[in-house]
Amino acid sequence: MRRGSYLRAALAIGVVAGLASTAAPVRAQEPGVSDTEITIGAIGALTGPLAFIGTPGRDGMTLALNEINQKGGVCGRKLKLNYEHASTPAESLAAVKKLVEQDKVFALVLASGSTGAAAAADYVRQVGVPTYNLYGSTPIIREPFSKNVFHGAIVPVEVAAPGLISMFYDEGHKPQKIGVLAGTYAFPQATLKAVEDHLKAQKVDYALEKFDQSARDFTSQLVSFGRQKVDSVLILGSFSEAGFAIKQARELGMTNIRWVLDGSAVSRAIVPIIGNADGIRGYFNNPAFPGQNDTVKEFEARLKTFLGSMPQGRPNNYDMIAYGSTYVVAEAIQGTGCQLTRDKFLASWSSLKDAGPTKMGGLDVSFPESFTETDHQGNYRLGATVVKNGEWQVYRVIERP
Amino acid sequence: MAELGLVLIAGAKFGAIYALAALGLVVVHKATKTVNFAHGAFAMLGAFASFLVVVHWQWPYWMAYVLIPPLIGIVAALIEFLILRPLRRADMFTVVIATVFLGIALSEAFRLTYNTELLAVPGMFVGMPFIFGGVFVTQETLWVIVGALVISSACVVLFRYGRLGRGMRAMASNVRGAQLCGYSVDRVYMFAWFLGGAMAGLAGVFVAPVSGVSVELSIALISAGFVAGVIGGFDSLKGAILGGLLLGITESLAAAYISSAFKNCISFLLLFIVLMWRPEGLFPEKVARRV
Amino acid sequence: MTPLRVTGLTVSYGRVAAVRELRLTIEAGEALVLLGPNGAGKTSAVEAIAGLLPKRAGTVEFFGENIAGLTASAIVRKGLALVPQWRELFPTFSVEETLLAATTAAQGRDPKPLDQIYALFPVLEERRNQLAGSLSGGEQQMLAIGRALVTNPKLLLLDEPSAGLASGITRSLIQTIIRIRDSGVPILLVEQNMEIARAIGNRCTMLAAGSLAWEGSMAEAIERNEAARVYFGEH
Repeated sequence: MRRGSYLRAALAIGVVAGLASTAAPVRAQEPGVSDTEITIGAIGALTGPLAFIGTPGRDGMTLALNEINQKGGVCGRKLKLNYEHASTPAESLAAVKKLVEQDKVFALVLASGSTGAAAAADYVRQVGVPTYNLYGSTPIIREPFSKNVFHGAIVPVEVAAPGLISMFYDEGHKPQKIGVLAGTYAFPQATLKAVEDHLKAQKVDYALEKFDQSARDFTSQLVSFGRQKVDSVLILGSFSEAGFAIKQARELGMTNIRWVLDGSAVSRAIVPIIGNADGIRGYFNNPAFPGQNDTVKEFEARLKTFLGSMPQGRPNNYDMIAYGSTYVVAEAIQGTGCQLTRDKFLASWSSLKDAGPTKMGGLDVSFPESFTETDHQGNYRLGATVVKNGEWQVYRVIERP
Repeated sequence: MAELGLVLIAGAKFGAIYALAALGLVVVHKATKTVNFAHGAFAMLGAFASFLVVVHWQWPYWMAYVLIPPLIGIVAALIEFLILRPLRRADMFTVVIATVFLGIALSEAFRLTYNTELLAVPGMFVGMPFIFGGVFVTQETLWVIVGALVISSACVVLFRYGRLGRGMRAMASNVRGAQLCGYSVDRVYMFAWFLGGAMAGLAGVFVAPVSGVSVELSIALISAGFVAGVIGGFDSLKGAILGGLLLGITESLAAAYISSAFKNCISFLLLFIVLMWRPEGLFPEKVARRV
Repeated sequence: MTPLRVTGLTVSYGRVAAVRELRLTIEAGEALVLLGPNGAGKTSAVEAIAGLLPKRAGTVEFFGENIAGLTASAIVRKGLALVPQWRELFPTFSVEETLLAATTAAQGRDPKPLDQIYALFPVLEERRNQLAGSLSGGEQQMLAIGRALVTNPKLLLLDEPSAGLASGITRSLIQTIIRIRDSGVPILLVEQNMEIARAIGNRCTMLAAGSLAWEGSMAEAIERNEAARVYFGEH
């Protein structure tokens, strides 16, 4: 052999050895877990039309993680959040892939509403990363059941629909005829189907009218309701759509209507649109509305300290859910007995009972969540809310039907 | 009958706002031959300024009507000076694309600085509604219909008989001829943008309590204003007003008597029918033989 | 002071020069005729002087002030008016409105009262409420001249005012232009028709292919038949 060949052989051995050493690490380590940190990934929109969901999602999660880390973290490790902005389906899928494949997160949180959750659904089922769907009501992420996907505060539409209808009967009200005013876009349509199924099953007479997204003129729909002597109206849409529909109804002389709004419209921001909004009902996904009791007031104060100043319309539903859900993830991690493998984590999560912030020293601004091996829906409860003196407040808890 | 009245009044309310939005668009196009696709964003800025004046600073409501139109007019004139003047020698397509992206930039800047879904603005009048034969008409509705139409008509008169209006019409008719009469292209273009911006601002003040302030407002007003303008003939101010009213009332009637889901597509259907039947629009300018 | 002194005027469309290094002078009370065949650059020259076309090089002194860098509207406001070849009227404006529009250029000076224009062109008074677009060719030419006169010009540029007009109308137009000249407004007339040129002009400047070909008195030009030589290239 000539000298050059020896050299080449030595080099080849060196390269092979090097490759082997990276392929077989000294100690097996679960993705996203180091000796000092556990990385959690999340996606949601921080700009654009869905930013009112994604921004509070990030803020609520960060506030909870700061509190947990200040008390020493979980299993001796700090929790670290990698939050990726994503608003379109394509961005959402790309962001999820990046978090799983590059950042190698231990758990993934979808703080993006139905759009992002639907886009990521197939991928997360396929790779098996522990996934928490915070805000998505879409069946695409919920069905079929998958052992690595969990759902939090947002209840399935089959649970929300009877809850909404039950509010028409509160305080002895007897609706003569119910009008359903529903947006033609995806989210209200999903609820509408469940509402219609429920009303038909209960043999309740109802009138249906539709409107396009961001509609501002509801005259024709309201006139039609007037013609059919509707005295109770369910609105499935955003707070701005609901607000202008109610404002216009009053302008048309339709007073004495019982209004019930889908959860997506239950927001402080609806009050200035309508003016006097007292008596309007709807459901909220948490046990108390911001400002209603000391726990939520303390939460609002903490969020304000954290953010510096409170943006318009905050804290909202999404701040509170994100905060509560982050404690649920922490509790699931703790429940592994600090054996931080994916299987142990999923098993621990699937056996959580009444998980929520208080157990780890946080504020209970969300409903406690429980999971089983076969049911990954953490919460089935809703807060029935009504506007009193210009403020929303939860007046009863709607239990699972 | 009362029901038809309600539907017509609601149509007229939106129609009056569409008319105002179309008018500013047509004024700019007439004088400068540019379709300003940032017009809706100017109107959105006007509505936002209305929120600041009425809700945030709690100033008297009339100040919104007095301060905002000239303010948005100045913003528009500045944009003409800074962005469109250097593009004057570029072809039409470049200029139109510039206004499209200007509109998007203004909307997104608003979204970034005021990260909220919607800002609500109360109406100027909150008193008891009038009832005409079972038809409810609130004071706010009456103010929007009458106020917007009176101001629009005043603009038409100003444009037709006023000195500055004459300059803009001369520029629209023949740029070289207008220059030979002593009208400066720069000044007339700037004034046209000022006037167009002021009318967008005014449309914004009128629409704020009706629709609230949101980014969608920008798109809603530019598309309605554009359709109303084209229906009216695009170079006719009277046509813009009538086109706006026609669009508003047709939308309302179609939603009430055909289907509420039909409301959004009716405007394009109307546009299509008008263009098929009378490509020059319903109320075109009298076009004399070419000189 | 000399009403108009143009030196080294060059006008080009892209790389093609329409006018090269032109010089011309108009003295007080005089009518200068710019002669030359089609495409010689006559229209380009007067439009550049009036500011409607950009100038590549040269100075334009108007009563001693260099106006070469000004826009068309600023130039007409100084008192240099142009009646362009294609008239450039506003079809949807009435006769009276057209004249009123031109008063803009006389702001700060005195616009010529409309009745003086109507005295010069009685037919315009008859048609004062008629749209410019509905006038006959001769009436449109009168309106174009009337519009330039309203600006109360200190110098009037006329670009082929007789183009496309019947001979009867042309004759009365010539008389009107002579009256304007005799009222003390110096005139620069672009013309192809030697008969008209002779009736109005005192001096003439001939252009060929964008450059000065000959200049001298009108009488001399006719005597030596300079026009034919310039037009047919017999140098």
